[in-house]
Amino acid sequence: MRRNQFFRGIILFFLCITLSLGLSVVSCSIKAPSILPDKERISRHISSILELPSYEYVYRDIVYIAEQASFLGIKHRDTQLLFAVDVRLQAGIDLRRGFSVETISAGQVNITLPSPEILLIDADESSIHQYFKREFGGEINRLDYYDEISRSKERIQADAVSRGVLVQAGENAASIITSSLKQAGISKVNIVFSNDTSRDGIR
Amino acid sequence: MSDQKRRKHRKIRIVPLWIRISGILLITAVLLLFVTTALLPRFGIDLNLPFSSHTRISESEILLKELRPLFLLQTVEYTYKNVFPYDFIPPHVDPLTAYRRLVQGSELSSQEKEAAELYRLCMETGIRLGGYDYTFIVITTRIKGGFDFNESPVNSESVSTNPGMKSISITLPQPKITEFIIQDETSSQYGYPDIEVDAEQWRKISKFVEQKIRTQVINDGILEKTEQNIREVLSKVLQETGWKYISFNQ
Repeated sequence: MRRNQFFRGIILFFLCITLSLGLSVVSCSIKAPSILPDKERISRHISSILELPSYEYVYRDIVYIAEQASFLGIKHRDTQLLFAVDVRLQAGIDLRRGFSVETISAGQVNITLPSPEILLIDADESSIHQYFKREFGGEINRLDYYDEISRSKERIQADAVSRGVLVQAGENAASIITSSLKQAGISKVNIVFSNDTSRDGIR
Repeated sequence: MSDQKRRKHRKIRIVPLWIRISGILLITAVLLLFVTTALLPRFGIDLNLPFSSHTRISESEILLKELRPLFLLQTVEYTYKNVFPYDFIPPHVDPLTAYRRLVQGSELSSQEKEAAELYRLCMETGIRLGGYDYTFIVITTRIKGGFDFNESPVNSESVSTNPGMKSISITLPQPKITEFIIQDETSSQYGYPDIEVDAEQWRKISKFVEQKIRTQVINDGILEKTEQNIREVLSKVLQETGWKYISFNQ
């Protein structure tokens, strides 16, 4: 009788272990510990900028992320997400890098501007269109798809530069400045792009 | 003990004890292996056990959709860091109570409506507001103020000059919010716990945050600051080009 009770105890013990482990698989929701953020790190900030975005490319990025896992042919995780989002790339002139205005004569100026650059690459959240999602045995995390968008951004930048976005941005910026100054009575405006970015503001 | 019970007892004893124990151990081992292979990949550990497989696919395709010239001049940038949903709970209002009152059809104050709207959004996006599960997202937003010269081009009507007096008068276009950017976080930059939301849920959260921050940034004076900055910059540029008396009109 005692031996039977002992084995019953062992069986009960193993049953408890398997049940608790089984339950943990069913719930399948392991979360990172909840840490409330440090309030001092959360702030607002105001800064003066001087940017002339003069050309924009809009890309459609179609993102698919999936994670599947199985053991002994039994699938215990299957998460999939397919969605599309617009990624905007803006190129133009960051005038904080320094620009100079040199008056040659009445109605004629030379302007030196910093070279055009990529000012912004940003996913436009309002344009998100989700085609489908599947969550079995786990959840989809936000950073999973943002990491993929981040990789897309590198390709977008390379593609836009190869298509001549910087040249187009430079030409358009020059055209905006020239036409604006003409309204101020300056009939001849020479614009030169410089790579010298050593100083801030007007030189 | 009745005959029936005795017979059952005897049947069990036909299976030797060591086989019974081995069976239990084997089942436990299989279950443990199953659990291990299911849970360890979540912590970035892949044991590469036989009979188990784990695949991750992350793909994206880009397509150039549109290209256009811009005529913007941006002079100020406001950066905010907010904790969603906690920073958006109106003071002295319990979102759950407000939501219950909304469902019951009670009349709500504007703050209660905001709180109920927030609670509904949290429910839709799987965030348990008010529970013991403190899910949160730190959202960084960058808002730029400037002028859109495509909407209000610089023309002869907006600039009047008197070269003899060296004076110039400029009518500035209306300043506006030219960019609203929700920072795209990545796992290498974002140090807080991640949140389990899909793309559609994140679109809803972003839309809500944008509405709230747009109101806040205007109240914080972004448009006034934008105009102040453009006046300073234009004054310097025009002085460089020989104008002595510079004035600005609205």
